[in-house]
Amino acid sequence: MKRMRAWEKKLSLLLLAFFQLTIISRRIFANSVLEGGNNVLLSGTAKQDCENPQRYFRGTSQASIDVYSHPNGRAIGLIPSGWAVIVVGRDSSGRWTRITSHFGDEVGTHSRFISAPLFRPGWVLSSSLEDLGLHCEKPISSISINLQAKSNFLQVQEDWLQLGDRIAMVVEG
Amino acid sequence: MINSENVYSKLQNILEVASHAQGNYERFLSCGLVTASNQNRTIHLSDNWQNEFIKLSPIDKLIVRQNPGLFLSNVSDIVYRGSTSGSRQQSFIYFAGEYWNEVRIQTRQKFLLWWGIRDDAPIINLGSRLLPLRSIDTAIIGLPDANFIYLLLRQLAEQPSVIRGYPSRLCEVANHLQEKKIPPIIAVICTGECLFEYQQSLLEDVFSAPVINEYGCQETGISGLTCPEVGKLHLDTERCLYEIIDGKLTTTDLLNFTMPLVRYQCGDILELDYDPCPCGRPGLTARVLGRVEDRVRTTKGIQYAGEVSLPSIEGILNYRILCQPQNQLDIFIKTKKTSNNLSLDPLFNWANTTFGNVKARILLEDEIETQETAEISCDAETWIHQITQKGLGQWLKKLILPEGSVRPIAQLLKALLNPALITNRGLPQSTLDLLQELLDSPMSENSQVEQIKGRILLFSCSFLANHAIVEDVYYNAAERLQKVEGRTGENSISLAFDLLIPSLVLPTKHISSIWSQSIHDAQYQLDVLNVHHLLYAFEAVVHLSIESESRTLAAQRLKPILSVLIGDLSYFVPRFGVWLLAHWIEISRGVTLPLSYTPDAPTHSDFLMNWLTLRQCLIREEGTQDIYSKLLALQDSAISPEEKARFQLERGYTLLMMQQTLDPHEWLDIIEDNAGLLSHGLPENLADGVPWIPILRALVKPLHRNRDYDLAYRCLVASSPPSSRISAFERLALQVNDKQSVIADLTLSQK
Repeated sequence: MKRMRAWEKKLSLLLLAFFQLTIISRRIFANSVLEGGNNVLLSGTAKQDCENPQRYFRGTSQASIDVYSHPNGRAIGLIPSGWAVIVVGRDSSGRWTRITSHFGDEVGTHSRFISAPLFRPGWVLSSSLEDLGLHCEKPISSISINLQAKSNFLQVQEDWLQLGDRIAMVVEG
Repeated sequence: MINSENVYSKLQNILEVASHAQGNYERFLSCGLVTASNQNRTIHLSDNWQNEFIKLSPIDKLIVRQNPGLFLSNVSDIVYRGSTSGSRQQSFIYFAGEYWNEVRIQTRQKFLLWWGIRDDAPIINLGSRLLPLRSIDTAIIGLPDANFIYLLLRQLAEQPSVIRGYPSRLCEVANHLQEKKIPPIIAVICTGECLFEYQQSLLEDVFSAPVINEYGCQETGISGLTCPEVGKLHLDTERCLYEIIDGKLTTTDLLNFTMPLVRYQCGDILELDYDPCPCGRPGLTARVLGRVEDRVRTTKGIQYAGEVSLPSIEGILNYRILCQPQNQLDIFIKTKKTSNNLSLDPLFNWANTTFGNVKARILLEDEIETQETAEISCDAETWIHQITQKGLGQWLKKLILPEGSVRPIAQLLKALLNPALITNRGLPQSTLDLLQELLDSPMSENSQVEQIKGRILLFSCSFLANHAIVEDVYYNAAERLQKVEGRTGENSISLAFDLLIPSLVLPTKHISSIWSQSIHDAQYQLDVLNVHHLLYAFEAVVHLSIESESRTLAAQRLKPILSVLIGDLSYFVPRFGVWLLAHWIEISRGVTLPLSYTPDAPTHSDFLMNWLTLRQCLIREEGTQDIYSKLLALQDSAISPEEKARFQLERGYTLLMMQQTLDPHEWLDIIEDNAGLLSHGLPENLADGVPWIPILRALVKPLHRNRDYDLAYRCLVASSPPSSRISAFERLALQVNDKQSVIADLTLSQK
């Protein structure tokens, strides 16, 4: 039977500072898209009330996405299924994409997300990401549907509070 | 293996129905399961269908998701709408009929009775993306912070309940409850993930209740529960046929005649056991090994996650395993509070036995997640300005709570809009307590504070429709606002309107008195709070009419009427007037207010006047000639592109009210051309589909009849309006209450 190598028996106190995702998750009202399916749902660019919306991406794969230390490097983490990330850039081949969290590299390197404890900033295969569009905050689920493969998508399930704020803006306008 | 006459007969029925769905027809034909007559285009099961069925190739989520409409057999019987879990990033929306839904509920009741869980026992879904099912059930969502734990303990104190959720999420909650005194719990139901030994042990220890393993996959009709005597997972074979093909669970839903999935692989891996369970109950039992993508490399080779033993380990409350490349093993652990001198030897030994020669790294998880987020505070005036002029969604994003006497008002509003405890009906007790605190509070010396208190109390009426206290709340608020008005001499339009909105939900006997005392100015300028107040009142009045089974004619023919009300508000909000609210009361409640209470629509707009006249004609069931002449008048008065688009929408409603057939392709083009013109505030590539939902819904049957299956499906998917409850749920549950694996292998995870 194989044995574990000898290693230090004192407890490795690598203390993980978990960020509360409460702030972020409770602020998420962007009316973006969801789940794949060319016919039914779409990634939309929501009008956002902020100066610098960021472009969010999400994995297309059926499971978590591996994150690598560098293109063709070793795996260092995981992006959970459905979790949105920010793209920093691509390598010259375009095959690899540098991603980070909505807090930047700080989280994932020195602290962890409760909802994505295995997330690390790093590199992923470009083909494993899909574009969620520009958002002020990390996008949540809503449903938009393209009926006849023409230009417009119908928004049918918008976040309720966002719907009210949007209607109220018409009064203001 | 079909070894029951009953199942045999059900399978034959479902195959006959499924063969008429295009997605099934080709694959059925190719294996000889069906034959088709060229002359009359009828499809029949072949005489030898039992043998041909064995040759039928399975399908999976990927195939269905590419074109779910092709699997829609019947669009006349749609009672249930669900979304697959999307655990593999491939979810789709599916539908089922009445019989399927009834049997599903009955089966669940039967299974729970094995454990003595009666139908009046509430179930609390905890920290998991599981909505409450029945009116007595609840869901507590979000991170397991102090408020979460408070709500849970409070719910349990009110009545013994069952708690339910994903094992990993239930364990996160259990982490926070170790050594706390917990009210009695009937049982813990684990669902959605593999249940490992240490999780079962932790949950039994912390909750002092039996742990039940539930297995299900709604889109396939799979359901199963462990038996109390032996703990084996019993599968319901009355609803579903189970097979193992190429090592994967393959199922055929025997009762979903709406969207039958035949030989469907949902991605789960099970071991089926056909031997009778020692408990004495008949039927199939199974062991869940996990998902097809969840594999782990161990000393026994590559195994499914559910095959790996994760035992309880002395001193360790909870742990998670991540296998990294280059023989690195990360073990995240949470220790028991009583573990002062923790020895890791048992953990090392287990890891050694399970994973062999690895470099293990222990990572200690602490309790930071129990701390509340630091709140940003502001003064009363800033907060009031935020919620009346800026936006409620924006306010919640910033989490600003004002200091002073206005704080409890803000806390109530937050609890109403962003509840961590989701109910199917009414308000949780914790929110009712906040409400009572305000009702009992003395008048504030600050008139502005008192005004906003009155407004929020009125706002809360929409959440209390059918509740005994709704009238008390209304009149308490009205009295306060009257006193403030007497004190200040000011007559706020926004307040006056907030006093009128609850007439959408209050008992009918109050409507006349409320309106007789109201301000009758033709034009109102709505503020943000008014708009939200209206939206919630719309939802409440629709629910009331459904519960009381007293839908108006408009509500019966323009389904869902909620989308019509939202569409009206969205379009008319810049020209809002009391006359519009009076119309909404009539269209949703069937109550016509006396003319003396309500002014006419503004006479400066022919379009507005003609619109109101047409609507009144429709809901008062006036003659066909009158209706068409009003429709023509509306068309003639439509000048701007928006008005022309609005006319098209009203034309659709008119045809539906008169039960005329809509040509699907004509109307899809109309929607395509006009929806964008009625979409204020949305990006250019998005159009507001909500007002068009009754029309979209009416197109489903003719499209399906014409074999436009894909379009029929899309219209069906689009036919569901926004929901405050679903939105509130998603806001808090997203990404923090998802399913997760407590053992994962990075070296084997699929791309």
